Amino acid sequence: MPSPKPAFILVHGAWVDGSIWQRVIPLLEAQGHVARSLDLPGSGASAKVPIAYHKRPLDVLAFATEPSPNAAVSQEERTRAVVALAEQTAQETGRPIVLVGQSLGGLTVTAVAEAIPDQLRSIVYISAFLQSPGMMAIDLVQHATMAGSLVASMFLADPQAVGALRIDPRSDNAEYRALMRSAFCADASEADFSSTLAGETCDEPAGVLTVPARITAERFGRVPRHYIRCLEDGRFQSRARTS
Amino acid sequence: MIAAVDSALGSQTHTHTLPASHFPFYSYSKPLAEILLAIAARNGANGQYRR
Repeated sequence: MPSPKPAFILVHGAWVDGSIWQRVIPLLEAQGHVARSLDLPGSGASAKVPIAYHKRPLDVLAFATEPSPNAAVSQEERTRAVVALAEQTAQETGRPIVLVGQSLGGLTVTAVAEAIPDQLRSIVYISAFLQSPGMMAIDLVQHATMAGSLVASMFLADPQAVGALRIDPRSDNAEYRALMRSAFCADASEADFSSTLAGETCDEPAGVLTVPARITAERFGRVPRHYIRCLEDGRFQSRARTS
Repeated sequence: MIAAVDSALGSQTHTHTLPASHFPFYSYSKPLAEILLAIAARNGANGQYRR
């Protein structure tokens, strides 16, 4: 008897939420797969934003200094949320799981694979963080291959001071919007770009960047893993290259 | 970085490419789905395609 087609669990990256997969899920379901996404803790419906974010025009100094109400969100919470969804999906459908993470979602995919390797058919990183054992995501951000990254130039507060990677998706500053578009979705239409920004939050918890990857060859290492490189990824373009 | 992970774990990461931005969900949603479907069709740690 043929084994059932795997179910996809799709994990989003920083500032966005599970709706980022809305065009991909129907394409997977059309081929007989189950595909589910979620809002990670601190994202989507559970995202908390600083008071200063609501005030327009933006008080730049207040926005740069107000502590993040999202700062306490931990990688452990996010890992637990995805483990729960994967286990629930496996139980309900009887299908093995293909776990997919995009961008910062790679941190969660990695931790989940270490936690429940036997439930996973494979893990997939899409332009995502993939750490060596013991490495923190902050080490990757500061890696030589990320020199000149556009993402850091979008930050409007010191992550260590406010506890978050803080950007302003509601900005009406043309230069800042162009920077965000170059960093994330230069190949999207203006409508899709605007729609993405409308769904983004401003504070990504900074603490997840300082959690060492606790992975082993015996667990994480035996789950087949795939990496999808996005060749026009603006995260790796320098500001000069986009000007 | 992928090579460093592979070396540390003693197993290989299979790589794929898309001519897309950081968010391939818009202009490349179909090619992205096709890669994911091909990955799902693989079976086992050595990554052979399921018959």
